[in-house]
Amino acid sequence: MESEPRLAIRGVSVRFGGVEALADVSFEVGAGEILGVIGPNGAGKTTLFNTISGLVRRYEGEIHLDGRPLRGLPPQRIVAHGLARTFQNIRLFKSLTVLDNVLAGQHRHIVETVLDSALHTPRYHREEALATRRALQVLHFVGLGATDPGALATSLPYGAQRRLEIARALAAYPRVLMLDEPAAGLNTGESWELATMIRRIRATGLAVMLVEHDMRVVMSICDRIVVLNFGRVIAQGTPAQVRADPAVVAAYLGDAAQP
Amino acid sequence: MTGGAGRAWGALRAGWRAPLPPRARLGLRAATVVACVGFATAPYWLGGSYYPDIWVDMALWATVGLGLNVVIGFAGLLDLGYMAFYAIGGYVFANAALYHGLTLWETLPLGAGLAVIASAVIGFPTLRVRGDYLAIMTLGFGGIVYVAAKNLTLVTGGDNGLYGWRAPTLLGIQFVQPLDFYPLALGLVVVTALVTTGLRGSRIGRAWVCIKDDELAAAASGIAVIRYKLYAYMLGSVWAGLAGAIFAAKQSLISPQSFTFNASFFAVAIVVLGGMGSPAGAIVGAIFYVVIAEWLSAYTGTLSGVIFAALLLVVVLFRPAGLIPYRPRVPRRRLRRAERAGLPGATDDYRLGV
Repeated sequence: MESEPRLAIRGVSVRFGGVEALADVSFEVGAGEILGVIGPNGAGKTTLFNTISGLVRRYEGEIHLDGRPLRGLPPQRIVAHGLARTFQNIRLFKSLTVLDNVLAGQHRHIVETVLDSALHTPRYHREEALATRRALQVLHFVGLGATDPGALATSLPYGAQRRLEIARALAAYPRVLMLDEPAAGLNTGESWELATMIRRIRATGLAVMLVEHDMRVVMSICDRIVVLNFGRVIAQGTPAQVRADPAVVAAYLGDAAQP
Repeated sequence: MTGGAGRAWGALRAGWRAPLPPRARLGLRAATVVACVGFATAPYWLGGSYYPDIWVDMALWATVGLGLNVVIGFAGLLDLGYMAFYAIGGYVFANAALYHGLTLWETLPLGAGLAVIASAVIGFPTLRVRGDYLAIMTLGFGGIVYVAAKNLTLVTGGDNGLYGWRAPTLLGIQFVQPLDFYPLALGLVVVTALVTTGLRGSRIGRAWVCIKDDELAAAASGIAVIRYKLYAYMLGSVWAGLAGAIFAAKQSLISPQSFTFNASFFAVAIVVLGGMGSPAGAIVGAIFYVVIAEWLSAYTGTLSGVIFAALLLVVVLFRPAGLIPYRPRVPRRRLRRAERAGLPGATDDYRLGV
């Protein structure tokens, strides 16, 4: 086992003008672990994701990925350090095919110079062939193995688009995967398939972070849960601990989560 | 519109967009080959003395359209000053030929190189701004180059322009008549089409389209957005530099009149008309433009501008993806080979070979 956490958030605070979006947030995510982040709307979950992935650049505190500080790095460098994410509202590349979306996720793993790209050298063909095989494997893994790789990404049904976005993130071969409300808009059956897939992702040794509103999904797959409210961590622990925490019940879960 | 006419119109529009049946596609391919051969040889069997400029201009505008297509069609950067790089290529050739005795062949890489350097210098600070702001800045750049061409008399000859260099030669053949440049310009179109299409189907081309579709998601996929925009700008301007040098050599005169805002506007119009992101579209757009703006205007005068504008409007309204829309190319052979190699593998890992 690694002693070092994959992702370590230490005392992170973010302010937007007078609003404190995140206040002194600290937690860690280890390899082979699914960490859920829950909280009411406006609790700072998406701000947390945006800060970790480099879209919010001004913050206090420290974020380390595999022990390396991420401060000041632009999003694409953070991807190179091993972080990949999906978005709450699906953000696929709409004029690219299914295959090209996954290949775009592999951007940092395809070794081509501009000359290779322009002249289609043997190296270009080698790299593209390898990348295509990798992409097909990823598509197969997320359950899109039977989908036409040449179809436009936006022609897929909604649930498949969610999967494709996860495939694109996995294609970056990340060390940490962040999923922003992956079950949003899915029906019950699709949600459970998704939960199964996230467990399979964990089994490969990835550290998974998950923002999700579907409590059944969160409670069933997360190893640990961090609860945010008004930008603060009000509780963290196993699903059972969090569910029993009176502060959490008051802030968010309400009566519905009581057994 | 009455019901019947409306229905007929709707059917016409639907038919325009529907994919072709296989037999028709084969026919279309054959027709394309015939058209290409026809255009390549037309000036010779149509009689070269008749409007010889038109053929070379078509090829040069096609090159411009193909190059600008990289910037606008692939990367989604609205560039309203593209012809500035055409001007740079032209003036580099004129200066090199007049004052340094360089031949066209030595000047072509020089013109392309300087166009690329200029695009890097301009692109580096400006590509940080997006959309409309970028359009305004490129518009300004085009304007600056035009004004510089008019006033930097020492290197551009001012309003009178530059002329009087010795005609370029290759293998003992002198390039004097406009038509002498036709094979060269045609070769440039072929190279530009092959290279830009090649780029589109590679890592860099995908990155461009990602940036066009969604900058945030592109960055989150590991793409260095600003750097790749700069690449698009630079790899787009090469072709303008080359075409500009051939243009100057063909005209045997170069003056600021060729590089007004209108020129840059028509370059954009060619890309929009043909189909954003579609290399074949850029070529067809250029043919339409030259036929209307040069050939037809000889008969209709300024009315040809109205005709071109009307055509542009009709296309934008009823065929918004352009005359020949870009169709994503699927690497079927690569996919089949991947399947033969025994894919996909087990579902317990997304990484290959587990």
